[in-house]
Amino acid sequence: MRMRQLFVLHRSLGVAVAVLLLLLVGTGVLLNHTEELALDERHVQHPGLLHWYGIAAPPAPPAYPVASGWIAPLNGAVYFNGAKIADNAALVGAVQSGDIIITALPDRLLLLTPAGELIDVILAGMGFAGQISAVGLDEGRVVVRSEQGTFGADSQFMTWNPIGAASAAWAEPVPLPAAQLAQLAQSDSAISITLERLLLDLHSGRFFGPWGVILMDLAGLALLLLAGSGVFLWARIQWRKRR
Amino acid sequence: MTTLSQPTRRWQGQNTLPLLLLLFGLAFSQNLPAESVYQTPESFLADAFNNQPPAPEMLWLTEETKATIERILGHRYASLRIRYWRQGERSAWILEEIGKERPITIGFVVNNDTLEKVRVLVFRESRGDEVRHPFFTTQFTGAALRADLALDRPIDGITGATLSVRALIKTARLALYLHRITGQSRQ
Repeated sequence: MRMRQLFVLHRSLGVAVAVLLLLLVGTGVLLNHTEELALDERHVQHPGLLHWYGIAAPPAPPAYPVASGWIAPLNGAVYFNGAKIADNAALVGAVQSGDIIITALPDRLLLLTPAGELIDVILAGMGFAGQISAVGLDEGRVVVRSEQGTFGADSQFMTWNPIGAASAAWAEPVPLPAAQLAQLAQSDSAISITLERLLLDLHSGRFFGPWGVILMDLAGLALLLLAGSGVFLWARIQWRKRR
Repeated sequence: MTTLSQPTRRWQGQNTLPLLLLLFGLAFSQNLPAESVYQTPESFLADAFNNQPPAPEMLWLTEETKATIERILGHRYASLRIRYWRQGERSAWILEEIGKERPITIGFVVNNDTLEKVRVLVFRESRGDEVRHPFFTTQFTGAALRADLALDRPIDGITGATLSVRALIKTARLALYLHRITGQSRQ
C-alpha cells in the first residue's frame, strides 16, 4: 500500500469513528469515578429514556385524599405528596383531623403534620388491638376498625376506646390524579434508571441494542488500527526524513 | 415378578415429586421476610405493670434530645414525640429499630435507671431472630447507662445476627436514656 493511500485510510477511519471514540472515552472516564460521582445513586427519569428502556409509568394506584394532599401507595411503599413515609407497607387508609394526618397501615398508624413530618407512630396493641382494616372519622373523632372491633381515639391519640361508630365515614380510596401520579413516579427510584446503568450501556453499546454492541466492538478495533497506522505513518515519515 | 415390581416403581414416583417440590419450596422460603409476633405490645404492657398499665404519657422531643437520640441510634430520628408508660420509678418503652431492612419492635421495662426486662415483640427481618431468645435478652437485665451513653456491660453477640444484636443494644441504650430524661423532667 502506498503512503498516500495509507494516510487517506488513517484519516477516514479517524473521522468515521471519532464520535464513537468520544463516547467510549467520555463514558469510560466517568465510569472510572463511579463512587466519587455517586453515579449509582443518581437517577434519570427522562420520559423518552424510560420509554426507550421499556419502563412504563405505573397505573394510578388507589389513593386517599386529605386536606393537605394525597396519601398513595407505590411499589410497596407509602407516600405523602410524593415523599416516602413508609417502606414495605400496605396502605389501609388515611384521614385528616385538624392539623394531624392519620395514615393507617395494617399494623400501625402514622401521625403526620400537614408538612409531612412524622409526629408519632401508634402500633396496633398500643391502645387498640388487632390488625387495622379501616380508618375513618366519626363526628370529627378518629376511628379505626380492626380484627378486635372499632376503636375511637381521644383528641391527643393517647387513649382508644371501643365504640359503635355506626355513623363513621371510613376512608375510601380514589384513583390518584395524573399530576400527583407524575409527582409520585418521580419519587420512586423503581421508575428510573441509574446514571451508572445509562453510562455502562452507552459505553458497551447495549443502549443501541445488539448492533450497538457490535458497533462499539468495531470502534475498539478501529482504535487499535488507528494506533497501528499512526505509528507506522510516523515511523515512515521519520525514516524518509533521515534519508 | 412383573406384577410385584410395577406397583413399587409407581409408589416411588409418587413420593419423589412432592419431595422435590418441598425441597424447592424450602430453598426459596429461606429469604422470604416474615413477620413474627412473639408478644403484642398490649400484652407486654400488661405483663410489665401487673395487668394494670398506666395511661400512656408523651415525651415531646427537643432539638437537644433529638440530637442525642440520633447519636445513640447513629441515624436520623423522624418522630416528634415518643409515647411511654410510667409508674413511679418504672417505665415501659416500645421502640423500633431496623436491623438490616425492616424494623424490629422491642419492649423495654426500665426500673431505677436499670433495665429490668427486654423482649422482642415483633421480628420482621428474614434472619437474625435468635435475639428473641431469653439467653440473649437476659444479658440486658440490670444494665445501666454510662455517662458516654453506652451500656455499662458488654453484650455477647450472636453469629449471623450481628445487625439484630446491634439494633437491640442501640434501643436498650435509647430506652435507658429516655427513662432518664423523663425522670429528670418529673423532679
